[in-house]
Amino acid sequence: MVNKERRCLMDFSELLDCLTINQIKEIKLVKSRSNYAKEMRDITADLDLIIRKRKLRLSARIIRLSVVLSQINLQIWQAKENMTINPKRFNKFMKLAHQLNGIRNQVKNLIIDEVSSGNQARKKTNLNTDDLKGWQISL
Amino acid sequence: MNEKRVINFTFAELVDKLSISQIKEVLLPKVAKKYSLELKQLEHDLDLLIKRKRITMSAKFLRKIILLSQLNLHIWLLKDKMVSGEKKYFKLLKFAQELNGIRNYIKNLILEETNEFTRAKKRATFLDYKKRMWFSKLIQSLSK
Repeated sequence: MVNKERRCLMDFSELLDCLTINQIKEIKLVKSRSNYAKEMRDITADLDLIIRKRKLRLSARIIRLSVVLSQINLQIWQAKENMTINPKRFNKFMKLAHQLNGIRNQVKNLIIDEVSSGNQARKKTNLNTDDLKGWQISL
Repeated sequence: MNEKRVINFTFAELVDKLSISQIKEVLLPKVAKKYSLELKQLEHDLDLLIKRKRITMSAKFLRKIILLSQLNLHIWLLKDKMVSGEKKYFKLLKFAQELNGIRNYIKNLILEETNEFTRAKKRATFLDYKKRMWFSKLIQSLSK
């Protein structure tokens, strides 16, 4: 008999990442607010399942990583908005968004380490920030 | 672990300060080291309060932290636009004020959840709760 249970489920870091992105959309995209609110309810339900199952404890470290991830995603959103607002500086903002995505992936890997998700295959490998100046985050 | 508090703020204030210092560490590279140190101290105090008050992790609590930290960045970016000679100054200012109201609303919720709520510590939100504002459903969803 075929096992019909899903095997590839989103881990804690992916869910947290999705939550931060939907939170940006709820503020920025007026017309579809209710959709994002519903999505966030589903994401928080799944996060709570993981928290309970793995008996995860709150720590300043996980708070800090959540803050950085949520702000990096908003900075990437901002860079992409600037790509459309300033076509002349399109490449500059596109590169910045790409560079920030490297930091975002580094933070997601730190979250995987923090909650001991275990599965190394889930770790991100696109970590390069291509000579990004500044943005020194003391994590 | 050093048991002595370094900064005597509530948990909500500490999280708020952490999210602002995080913005400054990234966007003010010349003084980043100062904010890195501040962030370490804030993390230290947060861990003390988590332990002392037995604050547990939940997805809704994490969402409040996420929204609070993004609101601080939204407000920072709006203020950047305002000082750069943006034509829609008052529209941006009004939006920033509304976001600041939501920020204070979340801080009040965190004060309640961490058993630190007092009338004196409650932040004024100046949010219009009666009308159907764009943020009405958002704040409803946070307090459920």
